[in-house]
Amino acid sequence: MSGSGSGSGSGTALSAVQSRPYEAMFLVFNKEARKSHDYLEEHLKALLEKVGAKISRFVKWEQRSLAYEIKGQRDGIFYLCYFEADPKSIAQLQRETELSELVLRMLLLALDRIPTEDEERKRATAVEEALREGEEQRGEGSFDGGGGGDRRRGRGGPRGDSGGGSMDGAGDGANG
Amino acid sequence: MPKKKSRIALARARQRRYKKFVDRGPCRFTKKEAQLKKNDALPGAPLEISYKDLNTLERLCSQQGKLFSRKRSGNSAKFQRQLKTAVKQARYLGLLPFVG
Repeated sequence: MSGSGSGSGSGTALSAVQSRPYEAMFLVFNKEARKSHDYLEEHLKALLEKVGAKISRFVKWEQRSLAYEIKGQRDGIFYLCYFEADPKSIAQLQRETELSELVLRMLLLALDRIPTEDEERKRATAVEEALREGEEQRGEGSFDGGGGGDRRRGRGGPRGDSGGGSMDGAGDGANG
Repeated sequence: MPKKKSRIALARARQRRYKKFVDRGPCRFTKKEAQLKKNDALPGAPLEISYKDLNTLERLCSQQGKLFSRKRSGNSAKFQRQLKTAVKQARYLGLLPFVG
């Protein structure tokens, strides 16, 4: 929420460098990883340090196949990074990542503070538990099956087959 | 030709169809948050749904990758908003599909 554009016009002196915590998730090429994981890590860290970010935590989050193709890639590696940086340097960071050939996507979130590993784990477990308890309470297991089943029936072949095979499938034909 | 159903009859049918989703108690996340607060076990901040909770996001989306309605999932407005943001962020990163 820094008024970076209007800074020069107003009389307020912003001499002190303010930094704020950020969370960044990098999606990186998988094929480069075959060479070396360190190479990717170093590349990302260099990107961040170039804009003067103070990295407080840097982890390889996951390696997984993507839901859709991004820049011709079907799977990628995710790196999660928490760092502190001057809000003014963020534009440069975004530009650097955009220019980088290794980074497919970057999701950057401004935080109020950086959660510890323990807090993050607790949060994730709580959300997971809430989901599970909610499903038990609402009896969604059975419901999911029913809903999915309906949809699958709608899409699937049997209806079309019966319609084509026999004349009493007239009702089905009207539906389709 | 079957008799055309009146508008009221159609509305009633719709109500019946959705009845199984409504009146099933409070939002699961709100409940969990209250529970954590009571036990003084909140992880440093209010409970928040993140794009990293992939299992949760997938369970609250349809097979086509569309987010379930509040009526269906029973989420409170607050957590439904968080969920919306989380799903959109996960889609951007290729963790969830835009189209299923």
